[in-house]
Amino acid sequence: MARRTRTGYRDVFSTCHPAINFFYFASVMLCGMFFLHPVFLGISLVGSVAYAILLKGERTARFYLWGLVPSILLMALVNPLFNHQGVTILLYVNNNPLTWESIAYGLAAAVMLFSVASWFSCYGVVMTSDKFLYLFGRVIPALSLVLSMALRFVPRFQAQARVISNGQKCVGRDASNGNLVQKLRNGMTILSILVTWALENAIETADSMRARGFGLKGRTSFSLYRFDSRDRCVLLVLLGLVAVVLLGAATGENDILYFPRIVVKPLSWWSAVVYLAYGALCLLPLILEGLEAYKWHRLRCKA
Amino acid sequence: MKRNWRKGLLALVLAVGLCLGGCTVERPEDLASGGATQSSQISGEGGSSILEENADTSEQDGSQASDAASGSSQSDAASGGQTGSGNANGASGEKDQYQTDPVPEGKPQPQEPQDTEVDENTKLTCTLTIRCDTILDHMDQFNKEKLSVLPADGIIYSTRQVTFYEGESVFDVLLRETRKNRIHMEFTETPLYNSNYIEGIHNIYEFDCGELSGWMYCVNGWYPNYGCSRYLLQDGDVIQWNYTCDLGRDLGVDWLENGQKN
Repeated sequence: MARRTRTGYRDVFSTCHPAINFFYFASVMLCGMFFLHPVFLGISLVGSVAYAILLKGERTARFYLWGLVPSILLMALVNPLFNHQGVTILLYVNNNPLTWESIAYGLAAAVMLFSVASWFSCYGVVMTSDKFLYLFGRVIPALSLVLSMALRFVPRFQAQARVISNGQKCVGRDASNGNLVQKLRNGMTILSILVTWALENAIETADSMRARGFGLKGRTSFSLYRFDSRDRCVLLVLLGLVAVVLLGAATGENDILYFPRIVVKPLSWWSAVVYLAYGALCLLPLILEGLEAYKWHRLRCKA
Repeated sequence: MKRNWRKGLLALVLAVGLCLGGCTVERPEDLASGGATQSSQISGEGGSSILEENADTSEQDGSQASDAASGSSQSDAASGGQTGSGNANGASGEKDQYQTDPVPEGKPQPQEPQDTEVDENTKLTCTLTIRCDTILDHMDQFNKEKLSVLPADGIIYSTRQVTFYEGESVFDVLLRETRKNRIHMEFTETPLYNSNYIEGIHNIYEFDCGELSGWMYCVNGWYPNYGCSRYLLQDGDVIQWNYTCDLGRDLGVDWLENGQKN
């Protein structure tokens, strides 16, 4: 597999039809949010982090290692300070019990939060705004434009802030120049320029979209996507996996009770099937990537 | 950028450290092996006879509170006389500085825990019961997730004599006995009422059996209208912690009916 330069290369899953991308992220995020079972949480975290590393490279891996693990541990420790439920009393903190159940719940909540955040960061890379507009531009034109603008608001804001800050630096008025008062004043100026730019830019974008007939009948999209046979194949697999996971949820395989004592369903062949299906769902982009690499390898061997 | 991130992390660690620095951390065994071990022996000896007595009263549920009230009028009078001069607002009809309505005639006035000294040399005894049998009559409202911790007979801590030190409050006794017997108990400090509020005992929490449910305490058959940290115990007091599913009405508490809320 020719290893990617950061720009230009797109992973296999990103080249699938936007509808599949969107459906995939919607399902893994919802599952990740609502399944607090430790096995499901672990699968979701592994899948989302692995995909984020595939999409963004080794720097993300280092960030995850140094940022994620301490934050998860911190959250697991903070939860028992406020939640004292549970039957397994480990210690007494200020005379209130510190229980194993609340630590476990804190861990689970932290893992859930980070796996969903990680899914969202993958979503930001895969679902570019042209894909989103292609999907929803005709159905809900106004809302989809607002959404796509809102979703890339923060990265654009950051980029523009850097541009403005560099410009101000040239005239000696950056937030890093001068004493504290001057720094604050310069920072306020930059913020004010930034906000002015953002407001103006939003109106300009809306005007230019209208000028080009956005939302009118018969208008085509910037990017065109074809729902080909590979997409059909992926969609079928995706639907099958989601169906198995939802069936498992309906039979309570993902249920867990944390308080007053931790209760999970015992492992059975059916729960193993559900775990496998969820694992395949969360690792689907990686599996596609692997299949593609294998295909390339075989083609090269033939040649 | 990277240095900012490090600074932020350092600040976070410091903040958490400061928060944790104010905490006292003890192992569950600490108190059990402490000074109050004699009381467990006492409770062990006296336990059986009182337990039978308790089984009798549990059958006549509703009238139990009033029975206890009439039976212990003697100690009421004693404690009322002792504490009457402590608070000046006895019959003025106004709330005191901790939002407490006037205490009925002959009942002990609240004693602020910060003003009372615990004399560890004077050991006294009282009787303690913790029960939640009202839930058994309201199983339809009960939080199904908590079924595993609900005792079949509704008795969490069967009636026993326990030792306490002079100057201790109902809360102090509850805390010591629940810890000693490894019963889960959670409370919060409520500075507005200058008392600790008992949120849950034995993992049965307030609101677990309908929105009017929670823990209430009564001493010598009377449900005080102030918090358990402010009730100064006298020798021979009978403490009951009861779970209510109906804001005390199912326990026979009458003062909530008069539009007074605590």
